[in-house]
Amino acid sequence: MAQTPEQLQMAKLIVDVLNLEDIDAAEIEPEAIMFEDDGLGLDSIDALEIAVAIAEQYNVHLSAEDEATREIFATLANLTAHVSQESQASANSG
Amino acid sequence: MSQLQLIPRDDAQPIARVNGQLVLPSEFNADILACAANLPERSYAINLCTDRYWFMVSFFAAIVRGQTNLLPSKRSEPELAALQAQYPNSYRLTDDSQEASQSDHPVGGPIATQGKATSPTIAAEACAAIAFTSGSTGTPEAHSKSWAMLCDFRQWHWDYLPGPAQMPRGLVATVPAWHMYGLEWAMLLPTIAPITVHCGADFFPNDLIQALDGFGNLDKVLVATPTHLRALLKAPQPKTPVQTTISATAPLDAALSDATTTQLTTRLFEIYGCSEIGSLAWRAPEPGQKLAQPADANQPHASDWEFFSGLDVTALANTDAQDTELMVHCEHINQPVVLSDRFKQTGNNRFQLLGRATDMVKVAGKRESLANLNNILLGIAGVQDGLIYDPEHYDQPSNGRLAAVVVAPTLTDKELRTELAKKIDAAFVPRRIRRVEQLPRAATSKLSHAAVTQLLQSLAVDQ
Repeated sequence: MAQTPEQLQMAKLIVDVLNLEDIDAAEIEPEAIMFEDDGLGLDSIDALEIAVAIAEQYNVHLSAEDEATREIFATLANLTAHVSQESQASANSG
Repeated sequence: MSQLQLIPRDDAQPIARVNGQLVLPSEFNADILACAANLPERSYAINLCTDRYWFMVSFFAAIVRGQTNLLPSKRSEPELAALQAQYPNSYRLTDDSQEASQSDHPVGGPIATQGKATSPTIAAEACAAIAFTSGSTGTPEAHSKSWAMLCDFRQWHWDYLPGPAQMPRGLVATVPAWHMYGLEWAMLLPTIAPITVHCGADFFPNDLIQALDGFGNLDKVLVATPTHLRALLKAPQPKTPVQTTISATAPLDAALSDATTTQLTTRLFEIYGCSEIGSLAWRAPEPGQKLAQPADANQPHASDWEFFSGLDVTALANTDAQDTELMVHCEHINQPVVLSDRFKQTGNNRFQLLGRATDMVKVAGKRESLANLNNILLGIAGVQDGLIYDPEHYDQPSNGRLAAVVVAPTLTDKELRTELAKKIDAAFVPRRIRRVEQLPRAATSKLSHAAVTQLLQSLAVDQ
């Protein structure tokens, strides 16, 4: 499945933050599991670094208390959808 | 046989805060005793609880039952299966948040519903826990912790903790309780000092800020790592001051150290330790001190580390005080531990860290032997030759992750990573993988530091 422009932007953020030098942001499958061994093989420290970059770029603050966190971080598609939903919510309320 | 109290605290201050609910020490004791009564009749408990409250309750419950807690350095299935094969009389403890298999013993449910109880006492020489570290051979090494040892360590930590000893405080930790550092500072310390530990999923900056602010005007202690502090400093700051910040797993560099003390308006208390024993030394740098040079390089410096008293520290023979290796002993361990760093001794019990002495590498607070990683790499079908290395060892740009240079024409990077991830912790899977036709091995098949440096420099130029 092809990436949406928002997903490509998020993929670039991930590749930049984690220095995934040999991975092309455009090639990250939106539905592939990012944190499994056969995906990008990311771990919880990577999730922390991604969360910090998302806070800086989108002003969206992720929380591990949220039970859905694992699902949000599972795929590029989920992460992008969650962040755009949250940033719209904060734009509307602010 | 001397007996030592499990939780030598009164009810003046809660010991835990779980989803906003405060738990008194006497209620905590009652939860421990109720949990202990239901544990299976085995000798060893492998505590896999992810919830901090239930990890603490079941850890102490196992001790009450005369069982030993096994603390594996990795929680992957192959690691756990190997551990259970080595300790056949063991069982796995899991909590509500996990999918328990039929052979596991689940704990969890409502908290503080068992009434109140006084603290049980535990035989001083009981083996309370066995912590496992990655050995250089790849086989985990076991390090026993008697109840007396854990009691001595928690008393020392309380003695050294900055601020008045009897002051009530709230504690938030980013490190899991099953990591030796988290076990000591976020679980054992609150069993003796008047501290309330926040039990929640404290990981992202947002979680930490909410947990810290949740303690209101109470004095606060943050137990963190350089990685978590770096992330926290980029986020909106907590509304209320964090009086004390403890950091361990790697030394804070001068910039992060100063930023932490000034932005969080906090007293910084840094810990140096080894997973074989636990916390060994401390320093409490003030802003600007780490960069300030002493007039005489041999004089003690404000950023020097100091060993906790109670440890017997000796320099290895044939090393000089300017660049030495150290051996640590204390009354509770069977044999002295040679530390995997090099030190410059600057005074009685004081030192500066010079760097790693052995092939051990540390990524995301986890330790592994490069020799072991390389044995695994060379054992993968399709890898003709290769080297996993820490870019910092060769003055290469590093993002704190390992890299690899391999001769493996039939494997893609993804296939290679997938194979490695089956055998090693994800933290150690090399990020950057470079391809070469051969490695510059000497006739003895040894890869010299100089030859690898030259190879990596030439690869960098090619790009």
